[in-house]
Amino acid sequence: MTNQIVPLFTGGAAALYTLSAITHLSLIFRREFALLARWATRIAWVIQSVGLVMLVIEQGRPPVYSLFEVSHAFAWGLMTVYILIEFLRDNQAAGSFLTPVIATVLVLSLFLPKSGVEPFLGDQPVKLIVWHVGVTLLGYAAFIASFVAGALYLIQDMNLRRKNFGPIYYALPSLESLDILAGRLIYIGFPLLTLGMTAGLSFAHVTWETFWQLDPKVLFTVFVWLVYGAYLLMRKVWGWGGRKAAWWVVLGGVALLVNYFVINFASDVHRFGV
Amino acid sequence: MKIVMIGLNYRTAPVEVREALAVPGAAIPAALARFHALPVAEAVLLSTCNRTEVYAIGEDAGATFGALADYLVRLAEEWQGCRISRAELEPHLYTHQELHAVEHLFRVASGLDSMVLGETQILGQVRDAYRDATQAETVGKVLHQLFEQAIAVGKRAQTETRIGQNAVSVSYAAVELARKVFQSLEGRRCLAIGAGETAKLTVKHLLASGVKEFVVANRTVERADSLAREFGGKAIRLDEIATYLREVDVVISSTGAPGYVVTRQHVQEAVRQRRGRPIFLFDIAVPRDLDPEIAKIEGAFLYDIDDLQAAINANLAERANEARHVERIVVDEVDKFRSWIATQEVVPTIRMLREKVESIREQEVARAFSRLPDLTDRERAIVEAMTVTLVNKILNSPTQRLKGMADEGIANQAIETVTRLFDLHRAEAEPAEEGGAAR
Repeated sequence: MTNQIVPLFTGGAAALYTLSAITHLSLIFRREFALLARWATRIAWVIQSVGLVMLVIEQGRPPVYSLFEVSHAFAWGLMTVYILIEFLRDNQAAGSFLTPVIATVLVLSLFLPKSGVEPFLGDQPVKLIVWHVGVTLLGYAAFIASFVAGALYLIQDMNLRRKNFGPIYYALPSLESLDILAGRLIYIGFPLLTLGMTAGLSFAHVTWETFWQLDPKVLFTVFVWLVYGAYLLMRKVWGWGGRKAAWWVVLGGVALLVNYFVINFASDVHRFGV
Repeated sequence: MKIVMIGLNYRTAPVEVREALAVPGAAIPAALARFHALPVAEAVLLSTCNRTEVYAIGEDAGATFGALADYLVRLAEEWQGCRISRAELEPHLYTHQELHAVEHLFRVASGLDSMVLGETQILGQVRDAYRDATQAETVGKVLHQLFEQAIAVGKRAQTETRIGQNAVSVSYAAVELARKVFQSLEGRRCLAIGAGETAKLTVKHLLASGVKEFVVANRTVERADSLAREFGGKAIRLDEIATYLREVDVVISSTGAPGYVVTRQHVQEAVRQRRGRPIFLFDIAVPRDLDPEIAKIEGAFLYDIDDLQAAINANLAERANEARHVERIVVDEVDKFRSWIATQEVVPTIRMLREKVESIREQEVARAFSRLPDLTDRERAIVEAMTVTLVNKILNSPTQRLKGMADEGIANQAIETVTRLFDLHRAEAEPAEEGGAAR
């Protein structure tokens, strides 16, 4: 029965997330839809949460076995964070820039492979897989948020340099706070990614008796890890920041997205049995 | 009874006339006391450097306008010693009555009528005018409602729209721009090159926003010293600037020097030592002090006087944009006031109705109690409470409907019907005293 209902919830949530993103974007220019933005987001979140729970019940396993499931859970995690921010800080401005990203992830997830056959891995520790995917995704969430912060830094920097005092100039916070925000998010994301990778490696060890599967996804993830590691190192040691750092963060985010949406299809072990 | 307003402002009167009518704060109580001698029931005097306005309640609009115009003529004579005839004053005066007067006050309180659109000072001035008039006991029920609501309109404009939010002066625009670079100005250092007036004002704003240390460089060290002493900063020589550039976060330059005081090399070197931490410079001098090439350095943000002006223009445009939302608030609130005034007409009827029913209730309760002498106190209380609830519940909808009909503009018909239905024979209802019953 849930078979028909789950897509209904997912679709509904995606539609409402889109509405939420559009109304949040409109807040940059006018405040008319502030209330609509707030409640569309909250209701969308509730619907998605219900859908997610039903999905888990239907499948009888955590939603980590297909790109669709993972993206779905990912969007849910991001939205949870934003809703908390909005609720605690009463800061809808953050939503103008976050909700479009979240909506994109959720809508894109609808087009991703749903099948997600649970790979036969013998009696392997499922916990390790859940841990591996879950923690990595949390790290991804932090990195995506830092990517947005970095992009906004570059936009605001451009506004300030070109003396472009439009609605976006007014809506965005100061360069310094965007810089600090991006840095903090990477401070959070990096250890999470590291943990997730470690879990993956130990899983590989237990399953295939090797830490190192020569897998494009693994290689690319190590590259991403190095990109963010270098950023943190430069920040810590030299007090690095500013425009170049923002570019670095943006490029890191692009690499991450490529890793997530593209490299997966070239990988054997990370294909989710497609 | 009519609501009337008469006054002049920066648009209708030149400064000579405005200053003649600007009543000094100390003289306000005496000026208000004069209203008691005029044929007005209530009055409030709003006097600022940009406007002088009187809001009053009078029997007849024409007569009230005349009396108030004479009042203004006497104000000028009395407080500013300025002899101005009524004929001379009249071309500068504007008048409004009834809901137009209400709308005017709401626009004034929300900054829509201000010289600098959306400025917030006027709201405080409206509040003061209302407070002074209340103290002088020239305010009655209608103006109480009117001014309370005007203050609420001003607050709504500030909280629900962005009309008062962006800077419209050079010095404040500079501070605001700096705030888009730095998260907070708390604990920052700033360097003032030159000690001109705008620089001084900007330094003042910067210090008020939390800037901690401030260094001033000037060609003549004496001027620098005096500015440094005034704001608690440190004075340096012009040739020391390069050393200080790497330590300060905000630079304001306003010297009269013909060439560039700070070159690209200076800033380049400073930024290198700052490791990407941004430095913010603005150049309010003409000819410019800071090499325009500085703008190309990654960690440096340079603004000249034209850029600041552009920011101000953008802010003004933003305010004009927000003004449309404020206009909507004003329309909304004027309608609320109209509805309040309309319901005032039925207040005496409502009171008479309540009094009549209440007296019946009291009689009947007394009669019942005299026939039931054995009731305990608790039982008596319950019976009494029951009758009160009964009366309130029965009267609730007629009260609401009466107000509703008044709001629709058929108050007379409503009053007539209720008076006849309930046999409310008291030909002349005295004016309602407590506004509480009506709200």
